[in-house]
Amino acid sequence: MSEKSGESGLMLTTLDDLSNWAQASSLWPLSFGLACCAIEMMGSYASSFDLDRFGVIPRASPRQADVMIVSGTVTFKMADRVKRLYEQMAEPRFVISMGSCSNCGGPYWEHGYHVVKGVDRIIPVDVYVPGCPPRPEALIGAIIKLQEKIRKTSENG
Amino acid sequence: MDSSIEPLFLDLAQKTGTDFTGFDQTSGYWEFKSDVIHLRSLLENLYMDNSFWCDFLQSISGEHKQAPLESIVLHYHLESLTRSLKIHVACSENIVEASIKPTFPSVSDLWKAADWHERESAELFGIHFEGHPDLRKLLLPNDWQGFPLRKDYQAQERYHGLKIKYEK
Repeated sequence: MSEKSGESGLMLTTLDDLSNWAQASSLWPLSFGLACCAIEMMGSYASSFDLDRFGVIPRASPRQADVMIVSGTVTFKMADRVKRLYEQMAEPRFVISMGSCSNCGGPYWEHGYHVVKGVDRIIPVDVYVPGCPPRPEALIGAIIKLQEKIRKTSENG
Repeated sequence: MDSSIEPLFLDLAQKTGTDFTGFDQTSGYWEFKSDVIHLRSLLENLYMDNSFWCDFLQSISGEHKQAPLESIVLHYHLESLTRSLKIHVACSENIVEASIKPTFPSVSDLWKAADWHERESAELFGIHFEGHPDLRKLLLPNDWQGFPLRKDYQAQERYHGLKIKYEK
């Protein structure tokens, strides 16, 4: 919100700011996990770290999701499915690449014949989270970074 | 280790035409060696015979050997929960020609667990299992080329347009 006018209870804002605020405060990720990073992701959703307080609530359908958290090793077999899920999400959509595997292939970079060397080869990524696996704090950091990014964007370009 | 079972194993080996090589102290397994022709009857007996009663198939694992002869070795790890026995059967089959898959008998009708173990070995080592009900690929995509756990395996260059090798 850009301005509060005081006693009258009136708020002034631009449509951009309003929609950005709404988007950033309700980032609903698609509920799926690929490997061990998914365990950390589930830990982040659970009560100790509580992603709920950021408005992050996992959705079971790509049609209702805004964010895709790619948490784990993307195999070639899974790559086709990940791409399809991404295409099924409604715009605006964002991608968080969580962990080394999904950033660049991780420990499978040299001998992993079955691993895509970075999920950014199939879908565009907004935030990369380093770690193997990243701590929940790092994932929360990524969500805050993504919120910052959304606040800076403008529909009018 | 209960050595009273040993004569029964020797009898079984003679009956089925396989090799019994005794008890392995380090692993705790009774060791059998077999060729492909006699494998099925050995495993059938270990499953059916009351004195062995191998009701649990722990795993089927494979091995690709290049020397002295190029061959595929399958290792069957069996356990009898009632008789407290652990048995390891190694079965070797030579690869005569690269284009022909070595064939092993399926034991998925004896142990349900063998179904997926055999599908996995089949796709990773390039083996055919005679009598398997549904030998589709298990882990790899349907259209994958080659057998990744063979020693001479070369990954294809691209899969669905994506480069397989890492590059910056």
